[in-house]
Amino acid sequence: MAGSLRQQTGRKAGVRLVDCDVHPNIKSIKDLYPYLPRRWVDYIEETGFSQIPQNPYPKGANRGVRLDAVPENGVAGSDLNLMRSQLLDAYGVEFAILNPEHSYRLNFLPNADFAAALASAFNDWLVNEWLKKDPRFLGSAVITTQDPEQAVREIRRVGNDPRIVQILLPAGAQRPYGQRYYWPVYAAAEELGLAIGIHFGGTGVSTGHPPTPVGWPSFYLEWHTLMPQAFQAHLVSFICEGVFERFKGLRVTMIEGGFSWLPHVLWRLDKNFRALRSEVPWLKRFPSEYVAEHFRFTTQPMEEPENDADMLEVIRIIGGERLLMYATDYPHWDFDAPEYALPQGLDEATKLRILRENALEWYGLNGQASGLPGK
Amino acid sequence: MGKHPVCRVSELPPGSRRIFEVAGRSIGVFNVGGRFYALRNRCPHQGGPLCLGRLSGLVLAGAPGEHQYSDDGLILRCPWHGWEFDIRTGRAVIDPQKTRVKAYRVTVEPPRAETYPVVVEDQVVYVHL
Ligand code: FES
Repeated sequence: MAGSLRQQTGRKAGVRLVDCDVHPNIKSIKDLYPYLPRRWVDYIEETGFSQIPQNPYPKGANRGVRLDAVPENGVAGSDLNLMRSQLLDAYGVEFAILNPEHSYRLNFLPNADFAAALASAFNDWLVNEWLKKDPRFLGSAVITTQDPEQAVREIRRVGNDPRIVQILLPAGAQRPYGQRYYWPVYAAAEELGLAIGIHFGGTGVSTGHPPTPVGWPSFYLEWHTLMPQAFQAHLVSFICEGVFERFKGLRVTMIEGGFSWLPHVLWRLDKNFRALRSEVPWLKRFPSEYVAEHFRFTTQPMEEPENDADMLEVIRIIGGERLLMYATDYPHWDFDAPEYALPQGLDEATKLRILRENALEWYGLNGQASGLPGK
Repeated sequence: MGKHPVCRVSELPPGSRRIFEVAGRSIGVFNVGGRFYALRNRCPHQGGPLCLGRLSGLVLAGAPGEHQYSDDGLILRCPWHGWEFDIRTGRAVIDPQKTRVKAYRVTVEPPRAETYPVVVEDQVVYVHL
């Protein structure tokens, strides 16, 4: 447990941060009305639909948000000016990647057409209410995969906006993300130069599976702790299905899913591959060798071992100086402050890569002024 | 370091709290049922504004399935990551020996003439650094 103060990084070290996970929020579903076809506004009014499906766990501490991030009128993440002062200005953020709160859980609405309409509305709301209002904002466009054809249409509709740098999906899924069911989505994302961002959450929601392979744990503590299982399943699936042999330029960002599990999973996978290679004969390299080229992992929530040197060792083993990208998760309760998040003893060059340079490279932002990313 | 007047008692009624700058430090002063407590407003974890957190009680159990609730209003939960601190001692519930925030002694005394005009009869809250 880290009671110890951690080293100063971020603004005080003069680094202009790239924050890879920030959550703007709607005050209510009505915020989406201007961006929804009349047919769906009427449906919402008729049915009383108000909540995008959630997992059933009450959110443990502080209702799931930083309490000082709740504006007087509204919910955390709904106030642009508060986000500016509390995050962008406070920490010297050059770019913040916005992943709209709730939006990715639209993947668990049973009605595919309703889900797709809400996803489009979220994306237009994101562009108009956020991305256009501050040049430091970049966005992830959400898609719903109940109907992959509509998902592809949505990618093509919004994906040419230079401020959209990523396609957003939840960690919870109906099937592992490497499977061919999803390949039309990856073809479109690769063609438009968009990363696929898989974000924490969406496990144990509505029409989805239980949040673990052994069923339903009792507590939010367990649900949150075990979320990396979903990320592990997707990572192994992407590699084994041969996604990166088919889509050689596809980039997958694992957001808020941890990274200290990588040594175990990749060592086990590589070992098994020696004997079981013929099941996946399309792989041209050891499974672990696909990771550095095709995956990045955001840091928050940073694991905090008693001994910082243990974390440095993990970062060394996984090649974290290239794989890791800093994120705050503002305004959520497990927010990481840049001046404390990284382990003590990390060398300056690695720190700079994690806080800034890796994300600039990954999202093609190098040499670009805020708001004009090149892809 | 001395004692520092922060406000009149009437300005800090039971159930309320205020944040003061005292000698360059941000300090939260709480009135819980007529008793006063003061803590440094800076969480030892990642520096969050601890004294803006919610006050709750202490939940303990002697065995799985038990739920004992006590010390209502005396456990301060950091508004960032929710770590719990005892407002009386500043010590973290989870590891009181290692993780703690500075707790200051608070007294209530008559005003000093040079600080508050004599027309004020109200007692004054002092924080002792
Ligand atoms: S800053 Fe207080 S619990 Fe993390």
